[in-house]
Amino acid sequence: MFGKRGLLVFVFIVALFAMAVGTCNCAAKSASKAPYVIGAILSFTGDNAPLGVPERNTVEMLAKQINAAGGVKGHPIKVIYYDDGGKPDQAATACQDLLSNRSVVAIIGPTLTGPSLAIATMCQNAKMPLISCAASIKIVDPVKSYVFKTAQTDSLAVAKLIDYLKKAKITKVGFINDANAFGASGREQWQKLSGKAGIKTVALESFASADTDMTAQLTKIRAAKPQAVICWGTNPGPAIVAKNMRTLGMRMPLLMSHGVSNKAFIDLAGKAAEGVVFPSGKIIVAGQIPSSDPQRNVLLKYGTDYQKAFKQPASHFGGHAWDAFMLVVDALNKVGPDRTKIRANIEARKGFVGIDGVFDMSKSDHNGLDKSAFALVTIKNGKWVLVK
Amino acid sequence: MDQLGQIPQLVVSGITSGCIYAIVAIGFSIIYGGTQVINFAQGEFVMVGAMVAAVLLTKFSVVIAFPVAVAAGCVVGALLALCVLVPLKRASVVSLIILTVGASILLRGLAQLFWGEEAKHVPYFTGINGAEDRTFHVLGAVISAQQVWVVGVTILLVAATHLFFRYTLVGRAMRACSSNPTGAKLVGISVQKMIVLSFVMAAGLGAIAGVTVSPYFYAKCNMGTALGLKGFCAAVLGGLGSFGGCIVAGILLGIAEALIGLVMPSMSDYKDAVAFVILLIVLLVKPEGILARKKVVA
Repeated sequence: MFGKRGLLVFVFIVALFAMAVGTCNCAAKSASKAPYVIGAILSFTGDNAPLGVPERNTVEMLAKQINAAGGVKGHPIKVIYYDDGGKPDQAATACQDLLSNRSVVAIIGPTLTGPSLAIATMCQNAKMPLISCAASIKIVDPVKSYVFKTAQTDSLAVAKLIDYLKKAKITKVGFINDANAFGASGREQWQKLSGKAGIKTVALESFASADTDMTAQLTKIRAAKPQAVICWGTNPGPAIVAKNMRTLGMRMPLLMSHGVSNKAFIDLAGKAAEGVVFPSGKIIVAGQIPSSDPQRNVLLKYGTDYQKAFKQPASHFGGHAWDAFMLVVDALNKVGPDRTKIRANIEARKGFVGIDGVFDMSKSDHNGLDKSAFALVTIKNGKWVLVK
Repeated sequence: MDQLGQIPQLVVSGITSGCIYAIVAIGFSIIYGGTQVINFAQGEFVMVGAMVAAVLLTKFSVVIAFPVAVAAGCVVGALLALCVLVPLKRASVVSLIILTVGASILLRGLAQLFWGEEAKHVPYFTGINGAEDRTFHVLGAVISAQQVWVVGVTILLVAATHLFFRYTLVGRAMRACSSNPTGAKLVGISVQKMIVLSFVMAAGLGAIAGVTVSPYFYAKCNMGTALGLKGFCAAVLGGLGSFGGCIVAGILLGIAEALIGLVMPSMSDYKDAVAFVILLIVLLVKPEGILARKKVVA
């Protein structure tokens, strides 16, 4: 009736099912206690792999450390990884998968704003705690009870730069941003905050993420004679802006965002990176942080652990995942694998010392950081130096 | 500086990108001439050249890196022709075009696998310690040495390709194949060899463009897509098959892209659309290309 081939396929499917059931049983038997399962949706391929890869590495490293030390109250931690390639639709598919898995207690990620916004409502409706690693304030404003984020909000970065500009008595600024979500959000915050601070934006330009020459935009900015230029974007665009500015002989100070807080920027921009000032998480200058800083020890430990495990320095972005993962672990330690209680625990958490800053979560603030989470960093001889 | 004062600088940057579009467009034309196939992996040849150069330039000088990168491009082109085009020569042109799309995805994937996802820094050819480029001031515009390289290499390539097709026996044979494959076969020209040769040439040209332009920005596994599409626009605008048309169209495209920000303020991040809008308009008004004369139908 089936034909020979149909029969074979049928047998094969039955065998697959048997195997799946078999492995489930085995896993349950071999572990002393059932594992706590955390979902991670990160961009480890695509344009933003330089952000997502350190995030995945960090989570892998932390999970290994915790499990080696006996897990959370005897339960090992199991992380299910999904790669969204930086694309909202892939993040949504991954999220759907995780939501249908009853044992998942929380989701960390995605890496980027677009995918985070795409799944925030899904998680909210399914009552699944989501701790995003992306920057935009839109993820937690308006507040959704189940959605948190660890990365410093871009308005804090803008505020930090405005402080710097005021100190340097700069009042005329040219602003150029990447047209992606990160750049557009930075531009919005800049326009909102700079006017209040009495800083005039004399030129406002943007470039597409894959653009390879920003001379056109910079020529227009140069014509407006600003005292400083701010470039808001993620690699590789800002590196080209820095290079083009050098070529055009524009010697005014160049300020950037935390989007360039990785080695890739220095590699790409080369000599042109010298003197660029940007706000960043403290991890990249951990060794230079004064000992009075409450984060110092956490930063130094993460820095050395990461260096040892991956033979690379830890990055600003890996820190977002550190915070997201450890906030969940912290909650698991107190309330166990209950999604509602985990959410309540994170929302009520005060004084959580992380990599991105000291988190004081509340009902109205699901990021919990302030300006002090950022340090101003400049590049000297290809190295990061804390601006005092 | 008023708006007019900005024009020289914008034209300089437009010509630089335009030259690259032109070289890519010539690659499209060569393959189209030899096989009637639009090779959508053309942009990937540029990427291969740039990536190999980025890797080699960290250890060797330009004198070694340049030819090796171009050779790598040629090898990729030859492989593509031998593995895809030659075995499937009975397939329709449309299937072959779709196969080149597949090949481009494969090449991009392999590049990502071997060289990683991140953009790579490529040192300037004649920079100061490779880190900072020399600059010249001409007519209120700043020109960097690398831009001079790009334009110079383009002129040389175009001249060489032109001479090759006009005066050498092999070049003439390739032209014969493109205008009448059956006739060419009858007089003893191996059409198959000519197909492979046209791929090798197009890939070599693409790789040269990649090596020359990458110090100006960077090398990245997905850089070929945008360059390939722009080059395709230039090729169609110029009337596929006409080298002169390719150059004029490529440079016009580059300049139009650079100037769009001046004409329409705060539109500069949409400059990628310019190429395609122009392409649409030209296809509607003068579908045979801006420089092409109407073909005589035999």
